[in-house]
Formats: sequence, C-alpha cells, structure tokens
Amino acid sequence: MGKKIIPWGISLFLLSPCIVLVFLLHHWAMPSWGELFWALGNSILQSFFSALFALGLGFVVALGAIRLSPERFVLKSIFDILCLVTQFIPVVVSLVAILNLIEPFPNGILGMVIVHVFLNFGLAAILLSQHMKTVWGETSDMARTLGVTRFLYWRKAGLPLIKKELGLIFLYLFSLFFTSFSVPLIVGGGRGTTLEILIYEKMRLSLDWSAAVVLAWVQVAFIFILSFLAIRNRTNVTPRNANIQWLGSYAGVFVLLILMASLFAGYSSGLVEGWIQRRDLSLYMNDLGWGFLNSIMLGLITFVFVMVIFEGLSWVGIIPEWLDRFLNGYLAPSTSLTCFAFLILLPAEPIWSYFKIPLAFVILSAPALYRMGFGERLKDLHHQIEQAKILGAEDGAIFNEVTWPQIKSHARFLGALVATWACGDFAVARILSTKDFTLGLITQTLLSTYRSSLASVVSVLLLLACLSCFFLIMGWDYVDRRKS
Amino acid sequence: MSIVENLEVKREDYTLKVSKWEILDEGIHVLSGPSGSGKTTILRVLMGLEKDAKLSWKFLGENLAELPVEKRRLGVVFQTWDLFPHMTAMENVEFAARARKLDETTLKKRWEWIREILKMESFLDTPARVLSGGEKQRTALARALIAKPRILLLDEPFTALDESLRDAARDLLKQVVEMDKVPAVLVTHDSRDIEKLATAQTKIDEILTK
Repeated sequence: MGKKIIPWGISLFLLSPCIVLVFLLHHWAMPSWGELFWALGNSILQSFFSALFALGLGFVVALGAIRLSPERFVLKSIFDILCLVTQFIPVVVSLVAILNLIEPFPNGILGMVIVHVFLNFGLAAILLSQHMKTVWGETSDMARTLGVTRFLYWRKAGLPLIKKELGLIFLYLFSLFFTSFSVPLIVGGGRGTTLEILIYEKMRLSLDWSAAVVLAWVQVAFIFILSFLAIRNRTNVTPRNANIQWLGSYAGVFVLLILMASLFAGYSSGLVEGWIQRRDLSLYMNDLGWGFLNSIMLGLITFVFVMVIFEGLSWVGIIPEWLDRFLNGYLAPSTSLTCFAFLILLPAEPIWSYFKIPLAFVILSAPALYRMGFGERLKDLHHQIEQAKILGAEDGAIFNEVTWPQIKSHARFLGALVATWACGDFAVARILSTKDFTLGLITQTLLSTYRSSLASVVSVLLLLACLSCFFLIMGWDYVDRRKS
Repeated sequence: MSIVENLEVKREDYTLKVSKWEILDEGIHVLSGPSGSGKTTILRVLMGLEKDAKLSWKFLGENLAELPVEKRRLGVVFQTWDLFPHMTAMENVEFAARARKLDETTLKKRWEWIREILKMESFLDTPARVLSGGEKQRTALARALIAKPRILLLDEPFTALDESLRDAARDLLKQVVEMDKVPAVLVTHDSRDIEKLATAQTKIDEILTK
C-alpha cells in the first residue's frame, strides 16, 4: 500500500507550489502590462548576457581543463575544485567577495551579469570539458595524424561538433539565471528588477497577491518551455579516455587562476577592512550568536526532511517509470514561487520559519538530488531487490537490510549538501521569515546597507556554520557506518 | 509434473507465447535455446517478476501464478548471482533464512548440511563483493537452497565462471539437487550443461506458440 502512496505523495509535494497557484487562479488581477514587460525584459536580458559570457569564459577555462593531464590527479582535482567552489560556498560569501572587489559596484543588469558570470563560468567549464572529451575524443586522434593544428581543429571541427552541446549548456544557464533570486535581490537594484524580484515585491512588500499569481504563471510558462526544450535535446555524457590534451590550452588555467585570485583578494580586503571596523559589530553580538545556532538548526532540519524523501524512495525500491521520468525531467519551480506557496499554506508565526524554509529547500533541491546519482544508485539495486523478493523478504526487511544500508551514505552526503546550502541561505529565508534570524540574513542586510566590510567578517562566521553543519552530518554518518 | 499454461509476454517489438509446458518435478529440467530467444523472460514470468495475468502454473495442486513473488517460495540463481555485496557470504544466506522465517532447528540442520556440501567454511565471513566467481556461485546456491524451495530456477549459472571451474560447478549442482531432492529448471544455451545435467530437456522452439 505504502509503495503506491509514497510516489504519489512525493510528486504532489514537489508540485505543491504549482497546485497552490492553480487554486489561486480565481483570485487574480492583471498587473500593469508596462511593469510585466519591463521585468520580463530585464529577466531575459540579464539571463541572455549572463549565459553568453559564462559560456564564453567557460569555454576558455574548459580548454584549460582538457590541457591538464589526467595522470596529474592532484592538480586536476584542485582545478575542478576551483571551478566548482562558487557552487558549494554560500552565494552571499561570493557576493561579499565580488562587491569588495569592484567598487563602486554597478547595480542593475550589468551587476547581475557580472555576478552570475563569476559564480557560474566554472560550472560551464566543467560541463563543457566533459562534452569535449566525449565528442572531440572521437576525431582528435585522426586529426592529429593528419597534422591538423589546434586552431584549425577548433575552428573547423571542434566548435561545429559541439554546437548542440553549447546550445544545451546555454539553455541550462539561461534557465538558471532566469529563475535566479538571490543575486538580483542584492545587486539588481531598482533599475534591474527581474520577474522573480517583482513576484517577491508583489507578495511580500506591496501584498498584491492577485498580481503575484499572474506573474508567477508567466514565469511557470517560461520555465516549462525552457525545460521542454532542454529535455527534448538532452544528450548523455559518457566521458571517453581519448587523449585530447593537445587540443587544450594553458590559457584556460591562467584565466581560472586570475579570476579566483581576484575573488580571493576581494574577500580578503573586505575582511581586513571589516576587522578594523569590528567594534561596529558589538551591537550585533547577541544576534550573531543566535544567528549561528539558527543557521545550523535550519540546515539540520532540512537534512531531516531530505532524508524523509530519500527513505521514502528507498522504501519504494523499484521506482515506477513515471516517477523516474518525472524526477529526471522536472525543473524545480523558482525560489519565489516555491516560497509563495508556503507563505500561503503555513501560518506566519516566526516558529513556522523553521519548517517552511527547510520544506522549500526540499522542493527546490529534490529533483536535482535525484539526478545527482541517487536515482541511478537506486536503479543499480533493482536486481538485489528482486532477488530479496524472490527469497521471500518483506518490504521492511528489504529496506532495512538490502536497500538502505547500501544507499544511506550517498543519501546522507547529498542531504548534507542541501543542509549546507540551507544553512548559508538568505534568499528563501528573506521571503519566508519576518526578521534577520540567520547569519545569511544578517550578512545580506549588511550588504544591502553598503557595509560590505562588516558583511565580510560575518560571512566568515557563516562559512564556519556551514562547515559545522556539513561535518556534523558527515561525522554522524561516519560513526553510524563504523557501528554497523 | 508441474504444468505451465497460457504464458504470454508482450513487448514493443514481439510477443512471447507458451500455451503449455510440462516441467519435471524431480531432477534437472533444461530449457535450452539460442541467446535472445526468450528463455530468461520465461523464467522471470515464472518468478513473478514480469506480470502475466493469464498465466497458470500448477505445482502439486497449487497455482503458483496466483501467489505474489515472495510467497512462491522459489530458489533462484541468476547468471550474475546478484549477491548482496555489503553482506558476507554467511549473512547472504542468513538473510534468506530470516526472510522465510525458518525455525532455529531446521535452519541449523540445513545450514550445516549446505555449508559442508558446498564447502563454504573458508569464505563464510568474507564480504560478497570480494568473493571469487566460484565462491559467489556457491553462496548464491546456498542462499537459494537454505529454505528448501519448491523449485530451483537457474538462469545460466555457469556462464560467468571460468571454463576451468565449470565442470566442478556442474558436478556440485547435480550432487546438491539429487541429495536435496529439489526439482530444478535450468536455462542454458551451453550443450555441455545439457550433456552433463539434463534429466529432461525442452528446446524453447518446442513450446513457443507462433
């Protein structure tokens, strides 16, 4: 019975923001066309240029990635970590670094493009380098024997061969930036209001929910079209071991090093300046202490919720095909839309923030987590689950002795990632809470009031909280594994 | 004799139909045929892993097709053995015994007999993932037999073994089946299996309905 209910329950939960919107359909009022087109235009413009430049820079850095010999494992790992570091540290920490680096910072569309590019060119580089290894790997040896130069290969074969992959990564980045909330919230400014920010303003600041519903529907339609295009053209990456090193360039490595060094310099300079002004923080000492604890608490509650979903899926064991397709193809709703649903569904008392924020994070991250290996690992256990059934094992025994012991560590690692993300968040919490009760929110308030040096100091605490949250979970997992 | 009737599996590009197939209820009944002819699919339907609403499988007056997978009480050895890699050889067998809720006395008696006949002593505490091919096969066989199954279903169990180990494995299987008096269905395309093991043989073409 549970095996039938759980898949439906999970799907309905993940779709709940859209379902809430359906029920609110009768309660709509058209926002002014001028405002709608202005915000939509800003969203498209910033997403387009952010994706374009992130892809361009990512291409150069990807050439660096394929230039490094796979045998130099340590160097390659450091390179990959540098590329992905902005994906793992809280957005607000990267923002602090960038705002300290570029002064005065050009808020608006240009500002959003700069930050988006800084945060995502590394991800684009990693994705592109995987495609290069697959696609270029098929022809690179032949080209080499023909005496083709690197530049000629890029121009005549390399770029035309990965045209489709470039388009797909562009589409992926575009949708990522189109639904971006945290970056426009801080650096968008009045001139750069995007659709996502307009929805937030309507529901949180002007309390015009009727207009927010219409804007949210426009956004859902856009996301649907983007995800449809992405799924239709999706290709599978199976990295090959072909030697394409000669097609790479050390220029990519230097570009990455320069950009990361400048990010680090920006962060350090803010930190030094903030340390000099540290007395100004004495006013916040109490808030910082509670903020630290609350941030970790939010992370841990998020972890528990993520585990409930993972345990539910593991209990089901053999995931029905429709649910597998749904989880693989579903693009989570935007931050503001998800938060909108919880704003309406759950009470406004501060205590509820401890549930609303983690639940929103689960909705925002669950499909991505499924695609990050959880689904595949569960599929790998199909034969064992079937074998256990043939042996006569009951559902509880299959879950406790076959499925969960083999998948729990990976599930906990993924859960720890989301918990860390929730711990360092300010965007979801800004919509769903009424006061600055986490370190992320305090940092954002300092940034928004042009005290980026102090924000740098608080962000160190935030990083500490995130690390504590991550290692608390992984430490517990380690102890549990040792025990069993 | 157990009788399989009205077996039908529909796929996108083909349909597999068996109107009637009589299986011996003693010794090893071999189902042979070339690769890709549907032997494994037939076995999966019998196990209950593929749905077939019309299937009837009469065994000692009981229709096994009406029972869910876990109640059919079949012993199965797959080509890849499908051991639980995080458990030791012994834990794999114990898991099967617990699943079938064997009482302590029966378990002790059967377990002693099985581990001796299958010569498992040296690798009982070894995690399944590091067992050799032959050890994996013996563990899989022990796991399938521990709860005295109604029928033992074997899906090309020697294919993944080195050529040099296959003859010994065949002898062992024959010995176990004879001593335990458990009827077995062996799916294979290897003529050596048929030659050494078959009490009866059915070629898949003989039972498929065109």
